[in-house]
Amino acid sequence: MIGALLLSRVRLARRAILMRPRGDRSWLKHPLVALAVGAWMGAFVYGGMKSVFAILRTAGADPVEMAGALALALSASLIALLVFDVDDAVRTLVQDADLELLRRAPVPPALLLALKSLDAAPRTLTPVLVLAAPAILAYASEVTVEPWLAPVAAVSLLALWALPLAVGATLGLLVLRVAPANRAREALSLLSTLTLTSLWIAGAVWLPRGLAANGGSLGGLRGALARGLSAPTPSAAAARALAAAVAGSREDALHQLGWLLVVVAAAIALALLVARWNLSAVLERVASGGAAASSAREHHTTGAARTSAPRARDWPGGGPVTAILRRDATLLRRNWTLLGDLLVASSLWVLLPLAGMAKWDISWALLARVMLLTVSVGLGYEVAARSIPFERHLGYWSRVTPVPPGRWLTAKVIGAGLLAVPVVLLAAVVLVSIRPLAPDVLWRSASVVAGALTLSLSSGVWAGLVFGDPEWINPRAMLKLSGRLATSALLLLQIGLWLGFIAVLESVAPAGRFPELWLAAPVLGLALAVAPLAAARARLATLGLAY
Amino acid sequence: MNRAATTPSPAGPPLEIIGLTRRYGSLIAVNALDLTVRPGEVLGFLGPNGAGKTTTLRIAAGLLSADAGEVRIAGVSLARDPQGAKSRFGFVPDRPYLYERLTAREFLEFVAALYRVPPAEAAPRAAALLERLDLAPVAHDLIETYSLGMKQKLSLAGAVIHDPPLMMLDEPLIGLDPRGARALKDLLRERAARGLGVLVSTHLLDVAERLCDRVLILDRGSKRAEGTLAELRGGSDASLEDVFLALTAHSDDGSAPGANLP
Repeated sequence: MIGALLLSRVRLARRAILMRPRGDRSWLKHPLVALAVGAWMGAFVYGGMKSVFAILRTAGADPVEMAGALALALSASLIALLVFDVDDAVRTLVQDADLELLRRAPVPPALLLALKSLDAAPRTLTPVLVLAAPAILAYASEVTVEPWLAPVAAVSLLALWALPLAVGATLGLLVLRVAPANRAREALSLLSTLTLTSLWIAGAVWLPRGLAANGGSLGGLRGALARGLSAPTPSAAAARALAAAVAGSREDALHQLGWLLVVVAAAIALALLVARWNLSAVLERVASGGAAASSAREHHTTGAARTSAPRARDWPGGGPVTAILRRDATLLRRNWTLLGDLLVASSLWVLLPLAGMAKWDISWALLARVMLLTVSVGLGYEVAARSIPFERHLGYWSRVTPVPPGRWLTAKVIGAGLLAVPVVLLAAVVLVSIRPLAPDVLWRSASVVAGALTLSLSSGVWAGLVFGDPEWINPRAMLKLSGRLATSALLLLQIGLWLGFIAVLESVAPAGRFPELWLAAPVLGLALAVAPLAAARARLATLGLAY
Repeated sequence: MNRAATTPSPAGPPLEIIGLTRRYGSLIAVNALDLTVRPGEVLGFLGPNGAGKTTTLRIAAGLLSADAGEVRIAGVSLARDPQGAKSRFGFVPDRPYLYERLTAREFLEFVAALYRVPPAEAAPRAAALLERLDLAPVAHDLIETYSLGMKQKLSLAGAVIHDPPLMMLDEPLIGLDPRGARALKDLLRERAARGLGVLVSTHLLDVAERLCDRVLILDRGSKRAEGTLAELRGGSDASLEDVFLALTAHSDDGSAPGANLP
C-alpha cells in the first residue's frame, strides 16, 4: 500500500510541476513560470547578500564574523518560512480534496503527514530557494570553499525546510481548532505575502544599501554579528555549522548539525502528536460548515442587544450615497486583515523612493515630495481599485436597485478619498516630523499630491471595475493578474507623468516665485480624471451579474 | 424625493412584458414573450431547465438587457425610466447576494436606504419582517454565520423592505425548511390579498398548484400555456404535473407540444 501511495504522490507532484492547470490556457499560471519567478527573486537576494558579505570582507571581517551575518539572514528566512508554512498547512487542511479520503483510509498519521509534506514540497521549497539558499550561496562565494561545505549546506537547507514545515503543520492544526477557517485563511495568506515581500526587499535592497551607506565600517556591527552567531537558534546553528565547515573543523560542524537535526526531529515528533490528537477534529470542524457556523455565531455577534427590535430613532437616515459609505466603513472595520494590509502597503509606498533613490544625491525636500507623490499614486491601487471588488456584489446591487450609476461612482470615489487622504496626511506629518519642510515646499507638495491623488483614485476605480475579481481570497490579489499588471503599468505611467510635471513647474516657478502656478497640478489632475471617471460610469451601467 | 418611500399608486398592472426576446448567440433564450401579472395575483412561472425563466426574470429585474420587447413595472417602462421602474419591484434571485460581514439589521438598513425608505417606515417594517421570518433572534449576528435558508429569508426581507407593488422571485424555496417555506408562501398570499402582484418561478409543481392563482408555462423560450389551473386542465381531472409534462414534452415524433394533453 505504501508503495502505491508514494507512486501516486510522485505522479501528482510531477503533474503539478510540469503541467498547466486543466482548462486554463494562461501560460502565466504554469508552475514552471512560478519556479522561474522564484529563481529570479532568488537571484536578487543572492546579489544583495553577496554585496553584504563583500562589504564585510573588505572591512576586515573573518568567515566566522561573516557567518554572524549569515545567521541573521537565515533567522529572517526561518521566520518567513514559518509564516508561509502555517499558511500552507491551513490552506491544505481547508482546501485539500483528498485529505479526507486519506484520513478515512487505513493510513497511519505519520505516513499521512509525510505524504502531505511531500505534496507540499514544491510550494514550501520555493521560499527556501528564494531566501535561505541564495544567502548560503552568497556566503560560500565570499569564503574559501572547503569540501565539507557542500554537504553541510545541503543538510542545513533540508533542516531549514523541514523545521518550519513541521512547526507550521502544528500551528496550522492548532489555529483551525479555535479560529474560523475562512478568517484564518485570509489573515495567514496576507501575513505570509507581506512577510515574504518585506524580507525579500530587505535582503535584496535595504540591507546592502544600508551597509554601503554606513561606509562599510565594522565597528558597531561586530557585537551584533557575534550575538547573531552565538544565539541558541536553529538558524544560528546552521550558520555555525557552515562556519565550522569553512574553518575545516569537521567535528564542530557535525556537532552543530546534530543539534539542528535533534530540533528538527523534535518538531516532527510534536507535529505527529498534534496531528494524532487534532486532525480528525479539525477536518470535521472544517467540513461541517453549518455546525461550525452555529458554534461560531456566539463569537460573531456585534455586541448590540440581541432581542431589541429596530426603532425608528435608531434607524440611520440618509440616502444611497451615505448608505454605501456607511456599509463600506462597516465592512472595512470588520476586515482587519485588509485594514492592516492597507496600512503596511501605504508605508511601503512611502518608503519606495528610498530604495530607488538612496544612491542619488538629492535634497530632503525633493525626496519627501517624491515619497508623498508615490504614496498618492499607490493609493489609487491600494484603496480605489480594491474598493470595487471589496464589496463583491456590486454587479447585482448596482443593477437591481433604483440608484443611478453616477451615485454609486460618487460614493466609491468619496469613500476612497476618505480613506486615502488621511493616509497621505499621516505620511506628510511623519515626514515633516523627521525633518521640517519649508512652507513653500509644503505648498508645492500639497498641490502635486492633490492632482496625483485625484487622478490615481479615479483611474483606480476604473481599474477596479474592469479588472476586479469579486471571488478574491487574498486581499493583495483583489484584481485579476492581468489587472495587477495593467495597474502596475498605470502607476508607473502616473509617477512618470507627475515627475515630469514637477520638473517643468520647477523650471518655470522655482522656490519662492509664482507659487500660484502650482495650482496647475490639481487642475491637471482633475482634467485627466474625467476620462477614467466617464469610462467607469459607462462600465458600471453595464456591469454583469457575475461581477 | 422619497420615490419608494411608500407604495406608488400603480398606473398599470404590476408587471407587463411585451414581445420580450433575448438571444445568446444563435440560441433564442426567450422568444417574443408576452406576460402580465395582474393586481392581486400570484403568477406561477413554470418551465423545464433551460426554458428561459431565469433569463426572463433577470431582464425584468434590469440585470440583463433584452434584444427586443418591453418591460413595464406598474406602468413604468424599465427602458425609459429604469430608476422609476426599479423602485417599484422587489427581486429575490436564485442565490442570495448578501454581505457576509454585515448583520441582518445592517443589511436591511442598507437596502432600505438604497430605496430611500424613511426610517419611520423602514424600522417597523424591518422589525416585522425579521420577526415573521424567525430572524429576530439573530438580527445582530453576522450574516456569515447564517445557514443557506436563513440567508434566503434575509434576501426575501430585503426585497420587500420598500413594500413594492411587484415581487419577482426566482426559485425562492430552495434551502428553506418547511417553516420558512410556509412563512414565504403566507407572505406572498398576503401581498396578493393587498392587491399587489407576485411573479414566482419554481420547479415545485405542488407548491405552484397551491400558491398560484394562474400559471404560465414556458418552454424553449416560448409560452406554451397560461391560465388558471382549471383553464389548463380544460375540464379534465389531470394534475398540474400531468399538464406540465404534456406541454413540455419535446416530442421527437413530430407531434406538437401539448398534443398529449389529457
